[in-house]
Amino acid sequence: MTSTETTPFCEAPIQTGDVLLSIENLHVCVEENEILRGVSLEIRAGEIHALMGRNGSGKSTLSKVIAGHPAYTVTGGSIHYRGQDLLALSPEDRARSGVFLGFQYPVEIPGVSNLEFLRVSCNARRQHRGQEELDTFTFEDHVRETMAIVQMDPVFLERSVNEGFSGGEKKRNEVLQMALLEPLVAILDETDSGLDIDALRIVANGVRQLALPTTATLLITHYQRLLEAITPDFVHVMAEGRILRTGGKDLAMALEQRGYDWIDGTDGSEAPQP
Amino acid sequence: MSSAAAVEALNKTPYRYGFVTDIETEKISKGLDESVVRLISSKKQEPDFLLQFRLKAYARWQAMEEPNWAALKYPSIDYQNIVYYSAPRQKQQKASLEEVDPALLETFDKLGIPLSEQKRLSNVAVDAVFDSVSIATTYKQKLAEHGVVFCSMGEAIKNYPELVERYLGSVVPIGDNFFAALNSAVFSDGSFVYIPKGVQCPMELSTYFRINSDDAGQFERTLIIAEEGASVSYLEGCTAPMFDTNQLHAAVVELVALDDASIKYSTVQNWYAGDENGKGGIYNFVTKRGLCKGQRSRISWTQVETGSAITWKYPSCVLRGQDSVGEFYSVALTNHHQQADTGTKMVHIGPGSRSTIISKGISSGNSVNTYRGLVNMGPEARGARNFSQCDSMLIGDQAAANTHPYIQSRQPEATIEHEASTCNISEDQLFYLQSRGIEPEAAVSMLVSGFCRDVFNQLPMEFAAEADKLLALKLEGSVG
Amino acid sequence: MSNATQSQPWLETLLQVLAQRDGHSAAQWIRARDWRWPTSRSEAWRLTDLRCLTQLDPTRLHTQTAPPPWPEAPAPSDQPSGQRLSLQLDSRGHWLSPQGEIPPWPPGLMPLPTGDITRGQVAQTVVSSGPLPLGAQLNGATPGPSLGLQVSGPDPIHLELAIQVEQPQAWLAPHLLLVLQPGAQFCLSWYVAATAQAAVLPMVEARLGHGAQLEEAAMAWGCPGATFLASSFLTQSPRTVYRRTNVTWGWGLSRDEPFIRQSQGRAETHLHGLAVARGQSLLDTHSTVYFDGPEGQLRQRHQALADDRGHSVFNGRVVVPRVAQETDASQLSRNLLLSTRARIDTKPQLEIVADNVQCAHGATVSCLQDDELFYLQSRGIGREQASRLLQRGFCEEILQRLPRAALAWPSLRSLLEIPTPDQP
Repeated sequence: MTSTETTPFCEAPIQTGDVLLSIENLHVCVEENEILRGVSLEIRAGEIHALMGRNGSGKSTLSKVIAGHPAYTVTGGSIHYRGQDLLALSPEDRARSGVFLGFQYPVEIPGVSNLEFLRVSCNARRQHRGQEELDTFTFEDHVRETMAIVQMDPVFLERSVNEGFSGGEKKRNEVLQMALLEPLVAILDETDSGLDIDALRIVANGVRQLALPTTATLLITHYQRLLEAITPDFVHVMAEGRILRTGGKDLAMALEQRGYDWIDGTDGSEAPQP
Repeated sequence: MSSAAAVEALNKTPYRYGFVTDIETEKISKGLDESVVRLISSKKQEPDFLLQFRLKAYARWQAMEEPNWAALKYPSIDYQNIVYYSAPRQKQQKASLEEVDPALLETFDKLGIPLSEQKRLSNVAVDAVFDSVSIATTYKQKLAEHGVVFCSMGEAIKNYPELVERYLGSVVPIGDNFFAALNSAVFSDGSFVYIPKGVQCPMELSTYFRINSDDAGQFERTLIIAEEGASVSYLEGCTAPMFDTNQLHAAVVELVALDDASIKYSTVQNWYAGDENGKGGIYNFVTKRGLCKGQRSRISWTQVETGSAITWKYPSCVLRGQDSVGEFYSVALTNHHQQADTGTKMVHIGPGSRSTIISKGISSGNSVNTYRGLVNMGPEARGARNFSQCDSMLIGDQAAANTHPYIQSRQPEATIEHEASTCNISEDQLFYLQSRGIEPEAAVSMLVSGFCRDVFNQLPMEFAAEADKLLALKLEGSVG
Repeated sequence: MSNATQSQPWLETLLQVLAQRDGHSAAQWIRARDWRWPTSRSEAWRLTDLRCLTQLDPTRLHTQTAPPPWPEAPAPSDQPSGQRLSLQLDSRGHWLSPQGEIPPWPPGLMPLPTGDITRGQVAQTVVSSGPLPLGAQLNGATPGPSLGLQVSGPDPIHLELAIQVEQPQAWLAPHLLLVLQPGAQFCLSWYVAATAQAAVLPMVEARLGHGAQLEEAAMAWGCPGATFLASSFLTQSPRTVYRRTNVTWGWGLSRDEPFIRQSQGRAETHLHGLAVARGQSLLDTHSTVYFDGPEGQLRQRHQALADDRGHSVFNGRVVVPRVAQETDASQLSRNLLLSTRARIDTKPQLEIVADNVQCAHGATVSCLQDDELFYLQSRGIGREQASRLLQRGFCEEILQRLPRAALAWPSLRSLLEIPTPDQP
């Protein structure tokens, strides 16, 4: 654990266009199976990236590796975050320094109040940035204001973390955490799945509001519909642990019409050229 | 970090209360026979009924065998190698706190229980018990204005002998079990509470037990009586120095609630648990029982058991009154080589009686944590209900969690529901918290505390935060 | 309550009587296992009175059986492709066809040579410490032939064993050893009926080879004064499935003690029991499941109904040691208590030393639910009939797991014929 040794610092100012996250030739295994087979991706401040692909193509794995999930072993390649070796940091230090993962399946934690959880988490990030910690009352005001972004009912503060939340409520809670932690790089893993139209609009609005010229967003999604609400600058398509294609938002639209078979060539047609 | 690694980081437990107070004590020599029982009684200048009570108990005890049904392993206790009377040497009648030995006041200061006028806790009356002898009781005057009696058992025997004679042994009979019989024969001191009819006790009452001696057994006796419509909330706390020998603690607590009375009894038990190799620590063999004698009476036990090398304890409710209510909320945390066999008995006699059991056991290290509980619906308990929930959390693969609920019913119109589950700290939960910037140790504490939430909510406000901190302290090396 | 002092002479006499038969040394079996008569002070027998058993006269015991009432039109087999074999216990302890012939063993079912069958050989490995249960001790002490069968091949085989007792003072202690070869499938059904003051003490030992499947169904119907002491011991290799469904009713005393050990985990165990205690019946089930390896699964459901002066006892022990990570065990004890003189005692018992496991148990005791009764009444059904329907529904939850052939047995009717509350 390096976190206790890290001296608090104010994050250096970021200019639009600075490289925030740089992934090079990343190889990752779970137990004996290689899931990622050479992923490279560069994300700069001010950009919104979309990562698409079939189930099992490695999208979620990539997001978990960036966040530091212990089940995955990096067997090759690197991830740098603002020039620093991200893989050397514990999951909590990654979070504190501004890398955020919105979970596809947010975890339920019985008995732990959501408010308390949010406060401890928010303060850990604040402390890292050299900001003073918020006491219970100040924090509660802060969190109530922030909840408006995702139109979340304050009753959810009193409940246990994600326990008994519907799918949509869990996802809103993720975006709320994102808003509170003010990440520099936000990765949202299928934050749109399982949402009805209204919830999708609310979540998308929240994400759009939080995407700043000095931050970057990586949206992992199956569907075009989230990308209609949030226009990505880049769209990447993954298959079998690699990024097969990168393009603009047109690529997502083409995918929607022609399906993934078109990308990996399994439909027999000629693979599109960049 | 994996959950296993996070747990590994936890296992260095500092025990904050391990100091010994250097104070002159009066002790009788080791061993127990009838003359020792007589000597204890005469030292305390007790009335004859109490001497007879003790002698009868001693005779019963001699004929009894130490129980062996609990899931506990410990070397046999040599009852002749224990000092049965030890008291700090001070004036017998302490008119005010000024007469209490400053070393004792300082001890309680260090334990966070200031007794002196200026520093004492504002809304809690404290009876401080040192090596089973009550040394001071705060707010006596204020309580007396409401007719509430809160004093040491020794004083109660002198000042309220008729109440003591009437209720002592009425809930836990002298021959109830081996340890209760031993306590009945040799008990030293303890707390006495009497709440008169219709009185809501104006403040929390609290007894703080401190074991100081390394060879004296601890045998306090607590008796709480709530008359019709009275109510009281009582809390006990316990600590002991670190010795590498084991000390026996065999207390008896009796509660009596008459019609519409309510007694809430909370315990935060943090006796010294022994070191990480299982050396030393308190053997805690305690009999606690409440009698819901009156209609609509209510007795609620809340316990947070974190200490002792061995815990053998089943705070129980005898629900005799019609529509009476019994509750048991328990958190038992064991670490290293601790062994806990704890739970409750809900004996439903009266019609319409209700009981709730919520038990949360957390086992880590090489410890053994057993829930043992009885729910019994007697033939007359029409319309009685029980709900029990016993959850175990296992931390690490060397710890044991056992669940032994005994469910017995002879009344078709009674309903019993029992649920039990086992969980661990899942990798996913830990990762989720870490990915929000929370340290693994803090995350584990948070998860454990969340697991115990339903029980902590039952503790008096002042102590809920305390209990939370205590758990964190027991589990963590670096935090708290 | 029976206790050591009262029952020891009875036991001594019994052992002498048993020892006189065939020169078999019953006492030796008992002594070799350092076994004593259970006392009511022991945890395992605190609630169970053995008087029904000790009221038998040891000097008058015999092994007389009667022909069982095989259903006239056998129900269609559950496994039409498989072989089916029906056998009944004769008075010399042999298993014969209903025509009294030595059975034509179908392919895949091979009797083991007598020399290969030692009573207790599986039991000793399943019950690692402590004495064997009472039923097994008495079975072991009783001389008589054992049936040992080796099951092989993937074709399912259905064996039906019936024991009919009509003479008072009968003492029947059949012993069955099953060896399931890897991949074998076997279905075993027991039909036990006792209409006189007698004792039936079956002991089953079974070893399930890798991937084998055993389905066991038992219907044990007794009468007041009759005692049923069943014990079974199973070891399950990985990828095996054991399903046990047993239905017990009518006995003065019944004690069923299954012990199952998943020797390397990774197996499935399903236990379903129904005990219907009416009259003065005392029906007791003490089950134990050990997991000796990871990823084992247990699904257990015990349902008991106690009416009149009936008494049901259940103790379900589940042992999950450190090697048994990722065990998934659940146990449910559901009890209906229908009379103020009836009694239910239940005790789920979990012992766990592994952190990554899913173990849960639940227990409920109540009478019939008012809202269920009311619902039926609001549809025009009288309260008594509604009560009978609900009781029947309670039983059906377990009965539906019996093989269909079992449902054709006439004795089952006595279970489902529920007396109306108005009748004495």
